Amino acid sequence: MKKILSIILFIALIAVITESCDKQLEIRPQGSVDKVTLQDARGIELLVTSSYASLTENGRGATPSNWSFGSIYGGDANKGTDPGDTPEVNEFEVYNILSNNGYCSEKWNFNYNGIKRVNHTINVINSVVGVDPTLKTKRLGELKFLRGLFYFELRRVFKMVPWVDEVLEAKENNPKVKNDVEILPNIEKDLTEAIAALPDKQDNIGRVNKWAAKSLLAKLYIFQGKFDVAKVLLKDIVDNGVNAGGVKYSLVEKYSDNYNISKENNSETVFAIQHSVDATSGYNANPGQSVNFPHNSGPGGCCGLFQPSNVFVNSFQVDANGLPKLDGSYMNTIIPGNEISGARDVNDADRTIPVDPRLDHSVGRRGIPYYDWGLPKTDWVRNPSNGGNFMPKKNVYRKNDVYTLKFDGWAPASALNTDIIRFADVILWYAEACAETGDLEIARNNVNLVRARAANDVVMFNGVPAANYHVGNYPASYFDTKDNAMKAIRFERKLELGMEGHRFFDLQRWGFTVAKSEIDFYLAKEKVYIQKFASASAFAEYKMYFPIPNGQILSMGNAEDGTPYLKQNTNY
Amino acid sequence: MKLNRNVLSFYKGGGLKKFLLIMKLTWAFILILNLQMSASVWSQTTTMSLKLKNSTLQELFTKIEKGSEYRFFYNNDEVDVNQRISVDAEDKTIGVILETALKGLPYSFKESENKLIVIEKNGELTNPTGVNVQQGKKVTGKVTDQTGASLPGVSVVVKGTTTGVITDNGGNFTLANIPENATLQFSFVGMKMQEIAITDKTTVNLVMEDETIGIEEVVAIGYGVQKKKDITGSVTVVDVAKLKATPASNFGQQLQGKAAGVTVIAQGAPGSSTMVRIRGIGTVNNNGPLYVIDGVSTRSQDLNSINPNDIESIQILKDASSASIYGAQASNGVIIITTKKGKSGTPKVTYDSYYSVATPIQFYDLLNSRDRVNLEWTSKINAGTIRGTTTVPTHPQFGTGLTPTFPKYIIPSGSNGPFTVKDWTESNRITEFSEGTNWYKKSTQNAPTQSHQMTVSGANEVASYLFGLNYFDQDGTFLYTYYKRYSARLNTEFKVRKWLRIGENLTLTFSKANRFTDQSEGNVVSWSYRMAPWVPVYDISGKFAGSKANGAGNGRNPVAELTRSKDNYNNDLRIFGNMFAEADILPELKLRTNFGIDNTRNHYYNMVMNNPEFSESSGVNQFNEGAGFNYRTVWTNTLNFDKLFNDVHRVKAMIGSEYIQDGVGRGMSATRYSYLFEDNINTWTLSNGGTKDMSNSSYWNNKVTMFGLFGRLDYAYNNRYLLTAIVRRDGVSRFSSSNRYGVFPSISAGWRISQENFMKSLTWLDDLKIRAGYGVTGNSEIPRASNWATEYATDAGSTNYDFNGTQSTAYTGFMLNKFGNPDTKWESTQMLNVGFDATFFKGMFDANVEYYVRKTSDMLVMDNYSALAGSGQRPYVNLGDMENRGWDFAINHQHKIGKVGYNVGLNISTYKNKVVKLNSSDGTRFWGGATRFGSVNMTQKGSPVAMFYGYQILGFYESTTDVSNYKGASGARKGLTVLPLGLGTDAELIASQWVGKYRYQDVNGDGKINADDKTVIGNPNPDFTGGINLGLNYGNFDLSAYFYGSYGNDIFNYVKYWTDFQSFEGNRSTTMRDKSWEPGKVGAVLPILDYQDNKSNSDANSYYVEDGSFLRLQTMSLGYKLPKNIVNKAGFESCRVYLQGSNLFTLTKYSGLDPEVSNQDLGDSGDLTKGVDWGRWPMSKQFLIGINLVF
Repeated sequence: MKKILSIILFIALIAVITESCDKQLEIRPQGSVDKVTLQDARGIELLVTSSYASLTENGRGATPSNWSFGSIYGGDANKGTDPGDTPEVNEFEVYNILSNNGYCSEKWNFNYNGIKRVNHTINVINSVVGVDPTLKTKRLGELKFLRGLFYFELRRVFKMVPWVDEVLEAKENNPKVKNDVEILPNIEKDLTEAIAALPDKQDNIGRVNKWAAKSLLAKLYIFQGKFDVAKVLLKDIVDNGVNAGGVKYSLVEKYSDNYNISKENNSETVFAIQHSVDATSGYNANPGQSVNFPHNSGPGGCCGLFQPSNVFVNSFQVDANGLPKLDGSYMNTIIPGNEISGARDVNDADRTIPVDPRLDHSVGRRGIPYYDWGLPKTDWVRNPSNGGNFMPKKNVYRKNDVYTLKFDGWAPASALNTDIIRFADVILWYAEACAETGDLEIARNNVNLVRARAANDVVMFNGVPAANYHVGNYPASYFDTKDNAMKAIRFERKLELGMEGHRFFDLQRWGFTVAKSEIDFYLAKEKVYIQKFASASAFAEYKMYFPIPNGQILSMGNAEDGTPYLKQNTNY
Repeated sequence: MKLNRNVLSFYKGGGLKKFLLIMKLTWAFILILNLQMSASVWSQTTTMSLKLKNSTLQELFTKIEKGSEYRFFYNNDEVDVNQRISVDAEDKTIGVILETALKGLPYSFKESENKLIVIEKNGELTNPTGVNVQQGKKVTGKVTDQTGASLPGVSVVVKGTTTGVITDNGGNFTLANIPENATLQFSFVGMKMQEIAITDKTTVNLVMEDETIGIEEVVAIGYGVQKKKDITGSVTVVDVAKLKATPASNFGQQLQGKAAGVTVIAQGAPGSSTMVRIRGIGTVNNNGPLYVIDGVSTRSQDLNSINPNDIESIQILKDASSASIYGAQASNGVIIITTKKGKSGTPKVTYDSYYSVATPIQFYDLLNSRDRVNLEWTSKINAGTIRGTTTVPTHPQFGTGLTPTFPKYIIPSGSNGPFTVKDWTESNRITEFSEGTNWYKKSTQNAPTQSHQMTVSGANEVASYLFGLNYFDQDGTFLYTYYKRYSARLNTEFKVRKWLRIGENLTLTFSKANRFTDQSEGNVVSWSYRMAPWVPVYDISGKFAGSKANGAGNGRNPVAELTRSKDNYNNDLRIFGNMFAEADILPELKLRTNFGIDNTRNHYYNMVMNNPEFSESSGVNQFNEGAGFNYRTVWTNTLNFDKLFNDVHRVKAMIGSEYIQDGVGRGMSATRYSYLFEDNINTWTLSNGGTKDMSNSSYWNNKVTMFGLFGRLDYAYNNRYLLTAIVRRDGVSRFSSSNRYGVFPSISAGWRISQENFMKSLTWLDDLKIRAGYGVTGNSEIPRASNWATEYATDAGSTNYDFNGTQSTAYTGFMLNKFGNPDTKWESTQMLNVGFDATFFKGMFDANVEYYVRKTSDMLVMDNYSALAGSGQRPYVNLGDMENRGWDFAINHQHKIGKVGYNVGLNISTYKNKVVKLNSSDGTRFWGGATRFGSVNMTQKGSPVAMFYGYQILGFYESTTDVSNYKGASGARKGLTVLPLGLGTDAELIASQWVGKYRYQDVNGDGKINADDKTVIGNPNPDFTGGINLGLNYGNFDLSAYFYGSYGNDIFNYVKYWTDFQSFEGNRSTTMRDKSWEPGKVGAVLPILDYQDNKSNSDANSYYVEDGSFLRLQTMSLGYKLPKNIVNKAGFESCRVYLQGSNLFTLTKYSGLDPEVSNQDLGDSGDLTKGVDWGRWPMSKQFLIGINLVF
């Protein structure tokens, strides 16, 4: 009896424990909230913010500044640093990109991450009731712009990419779509809808407004060679466009203000990624450029990547009229850049050759003051045998800039914004659209707008210009034919937008013939000074687009028809 | 406790009952002692098998006493023990045996309390009257065990007579009136019987020696104990004495090579973690075993916080049929640790100490300054020649020209630095220049270790206690590194009632350490080869020199790094213990409740000082501080039942419940910059830092709860056929309520075939048991505490955006940061285990062989969403299957020839791992082992985990024709030249530039070398690992040696990226100098020296993969036990001194520092990063002197 009683007691005890413990197994996640919590106006704003924030969450390969995809692949610069450092970029500089290149997959992941956030946010906005419809419309417009931006980037880089919209996002955590449909019409639709939904003036300077959306649509037209529609749209932007703060678009007085943390969000800003460095973290800074700083005792003291090429630097040479040497003769006598024996820290040869003043805002070179950091020292260049003698500058902060830091005490970051579209770019598109459609004089005037502004801003050293600066406006003779006008406009884009990630994408839309001749010229000239270019691969048509990341092809696997969801671009 | 069938003659004067009363006290004491030692196996159901033909009663009693816990009492005057009897019993209770034996004799028996069997003459017991009193001498003495503890209850008998006595609580005895020439026999259960001739002695002090414990040994098997002979699952019982032969900060290191089926990888850093894996790799998640210490389970793999000196026994449950009692946590095996308890009457004080010195092992073969610079020159000249450009080499330090100009000084130009041109004088010449700096030598040291362990223990009728203190202080072989540990233990048990025992086990460990345990390109080992040899340690003004010297790359001065971090440390505190109560509800029913706690607390701070000599110096110092705590609590209740039915059916049953909470805790950390007085440790507070760029964070540990109900049934028929069934139902908070519970059953059976009659003729065979088991265990150990929930969170770097362009203030955002999956359920592991255990030739040999198949199904893998899903963390889903098959093999031999005793042990473990399924899509690959050129470990369906993946080198392109003669095998490029790495079209090929470069295998035969041609180039999983244990003793000397080895595993020697290729400006290997390709050169292993060669090192290739097999003499030690008389004179009970060498040699072909390479990622999913060597802290050679003292 005693035995039975004990057993019953024990079983009863276990039953009680079981019951109470079962409840203990229900635990809410710690450190997060659920979707229901975000179903209101505040929730919408929080999700929209993170959709924008995906722009700043970029790595060195993903960064929309496109220093590797646009500038290095386009010949503005080479990798710099030591041969073994960041080997992904070696493949960019010698036109030998493999399908497992880390930067390509970063690029892919970054854009789809942004798209996922946008789609998810659109779905939340559409499902929330009781929120001011004007706010909803506005935010949906912003999101459509962002989605258009992400897809346009994917389209330029990889050509054929899968399209995931909010409908599919709502259905599948892990969407599987083939990359067999041209997505340009979808992008155009997104941007058109964004234009319709967006206001002229925005709630904050960092948001997208109607004119930014129009500008991106214009860029899309230009990309497709639709110069007629582009011209109309661009004229509207040039005549009536205002930035998100409501200030009319215009070129800022000084060219270098575009690369100055304290002069950001000005009249030239069409759309820029807002980077910030606050007291508690630097992770909204521009991490994608964190290694692109002069080496050793130089600004940032980091890694010494992204060194301007000899061809790029010498493109700034001008003739007696202050006009560029469009025939390529600038490579006949070059700016040496390296140290002249006996002269430390000053290189007279570098300073006497007449150049466009934009050179010394785009490039750090010996003998020319580098912002407020003083004259560059020899150790600012890490390994001249591998990277030449020049240093990047547009992405580098000033010594006295407040909003800068180093990631984990290592690579530098700053609050310097990344321009996606600045007004000078819009003006040059307008010039290009005009030239393509026969309005050569309007084209010339617009190019000269940019050149005239360039003349306003020269680097000074001891109270005098640091080098022999000269920039002149194009006379009509340079714009006598469409071909000549295009030659000048294309060269102007190289000078005005150099080191800003545009160069290759310009070559891309100008077509394989132009791209090949420019890249062949670059390699032929550059290999004289830097050996690695002698082993660069000849530029071929398939290289107009980058390989679709191998890992993603494997990861998405095969569709039901047995073929892979993602088809690799030819020859990769 | 073999004793005193004779003692009644000593008690002629008193009544038996009175005697028994006195004896009871002694017995009560001995009982407690036994409880501690073997956790009590007796019951009223003790059975045994006996076969006696025409033997004496005395023989019968002796046999029963040997094979059970029973002792016999009788009066010599009444009982004639020379009566002949016959018994034939198979697995019968003692009672049945006695009944049979005494049938027909005028005796009856009755069992008294505490296993005493009193044999009485039938009818009224008559008190013994009168003794045959002899006039003789009186002898006194004391009996102790080998550790010096007094032994009560030892039987001391005058040989050839029935006169005797048992020792008292102090181990003392007195025998009076014995013959002058008597010989005394000393006997005690579990110890060797000894005989001492008295001659003229009046005092006899004796040390009893342990008898080798055989199959009667009782081992812990999870919520209970079992006789080793009755085990049907796969349980390795570790010989703790052998473990102790290797002094180490944790028992994991000691376990290496001692247990078949258990793979252990240690690290060289002091107090660093040790990786233990049981029977292969069962999952892509956490593969660490469950540790159960004194009944409290913990998942913590931090073995350093368990003082190895405290360990009494270790059992390893390797298969599902033994481990499934731990159900949901057992799929990686279970290691059961029991700590020492107080053992004997008088307080025993022991002191164990050792002192050792570790010396750094040989470093990589690197170049001196001159060779390094010359290599640079050759490479640059070749680069020009290969490309048809005649570039003259140039270097910021060594000038421009066809030969380098070696300067007198290294100029750290550009540094804001320590000296100027004016300081350069001949007397300040950097004299180390030509040979250069051996950075490794400069940053290492001979490092002492000391350990002191003091233990006080004892027990009496109502309580047992053990109190231990340990101080362990190990310096690392790198400058200023150390690990110190202070630990205390208190284990007590109280018998508060006859039926109720209450006790606790508690340990408290505090450690402080400054060392690096990571494998990374940023640790000091890596800096020692990443620094150029031509940079001196100090510049001419005595400050640190470094890569600020222009052209020196971006290495950090390791001496500076170590010196500046000498005051940084981590503090850890762990409180681990349990309280228990155990009640005997009924004789066969025992209830136990046990509450355990594992509390860890850590605190760290480190100042990352300014390093102005570093080329990529941040120019600002940084201070990090953080702290956290965690609780795990385990509450267990069990009910144990044990009974023998009808003499042949033995049934043991257990049911229980367990509630576990883990991850209860929080942590916080903060960083500040710009300390004005970084050298002054007193200013190292957060408030002394600058406010710019500060960061603060805090976090939850993420609570997980688990609840289980379990039962176990052991059935044995006639001691011959054994069956064990287990079932456990576990629930865990990680999964949604619909998938929360899992049921994990197992069954195993054994056949003690040696008990069968047909085997009896094999006299050489002592025991043979064959057994098989099958069971299911579970696993839910994924890094997500709430895998079922979709979560939204904010994270400044990912979600916030500065809409107002303030440059400094961002709006807060929220994102979907974790996908949830409510359908995810338990990962389960099915395991089949077959094996046998055998001992033969009277215990001279024992062998244990097992084969197992371990299949993991519904393996929890992070869902393989493509990038289209965004960056939210993927949920774990049940998508994978994994399989391991292997053999565990152990054989031991021990023998004594004359005075020389020796033993030889060999154990071998094998596993063949295979991923059967990884995800819904066959192409899914899991990557691990991140390097500068991507991941090198690839895990995919159909092959073992973590295979090395890269290009297979077929040789070199010897000439341009060699380039063009390499043809595509299929497709569009069939018969056309295989385009070298990265080329897409023929137009891109410049054949001359590929001469002397690696020719990669065109795996898919498409005539192009590209990412699709990467293939499996190595396997980090060994064919087998094993240990050889050797022991030898002669008189007071003992000698032992332990070997550990691994065969057939590959290592990915990632260090070669820096030392063997044109990567960074650090140092290079002698291999690169001597074995780089040149036209016509034989034996080249590296491509032609070409400064612009960025293809040969741009991705993983087979050059990095090396055979990682090794055999290491782990320890060799020589001990000497000081003669008793000397020791006693000095006031000690016993004293042993020993000398030891560790890691004396390693046979290996591996070219890295140390072939014992662990995972790169030491965290949860670390097994996917197996075998990649980033320059780990190598094991060092160690010489040691130690002492064991007993007071």
